[in-house]
Amino acid sequence: MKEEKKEKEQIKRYFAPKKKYCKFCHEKIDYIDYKDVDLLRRFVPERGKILPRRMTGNCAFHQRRLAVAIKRARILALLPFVAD
Amino acid sequence: MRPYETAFLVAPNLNEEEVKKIVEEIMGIVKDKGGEIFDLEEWGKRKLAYPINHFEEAYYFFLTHESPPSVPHELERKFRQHESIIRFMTVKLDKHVYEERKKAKAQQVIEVSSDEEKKEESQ
Repeated sequence: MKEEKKEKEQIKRYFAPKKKYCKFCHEKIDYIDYKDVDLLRRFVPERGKILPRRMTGNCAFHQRRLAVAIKRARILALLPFVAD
Repeated sequence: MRPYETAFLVAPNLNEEEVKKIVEEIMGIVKDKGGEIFDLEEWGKRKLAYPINHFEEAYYFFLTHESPPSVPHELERKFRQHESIIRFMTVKLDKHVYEERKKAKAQQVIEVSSDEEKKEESQ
């Protein structure tokens, strides 16, 4: 029994992913500026799609603000709508 | 009076004097309608993420102003008429953000003036 438990724990530890956290909460950024292209780029991979929350680990509040900022940047051609 | 941020892109086929004229025209509209200009950010010519009206680059301008709500309306009308303005967007600025920017600017001014004073003293 004991050994089984140990094994299970080891497997668990092996697969435990790095804990994600909201970078905006961490750095206490409450206004995400649409002009800050370098920051927004980090959440927009090559294809031009916005990374989902499950990938970025952002909290709901900041993910919403981020999405708005990216969409504004797209209107001004700072970021692509689609890139191929 | 509300804080707004108006962004507009000017076509790249104009020379700098013409661009300057357009910017002054826009700023004139804000002033005429009772708005106060807080800051003008110029990024110069920048590559677009995708072509607009077959242009690959444009002059970027960001105008922060505190104005009555009629101003964005008037600006939009003007932007639509203007052939050389290829893209524009006005957003309402968060009040807290605006206050913070105001403070930051005030501090900058103070720092600059105190620097000047120091220079004068040393002279």
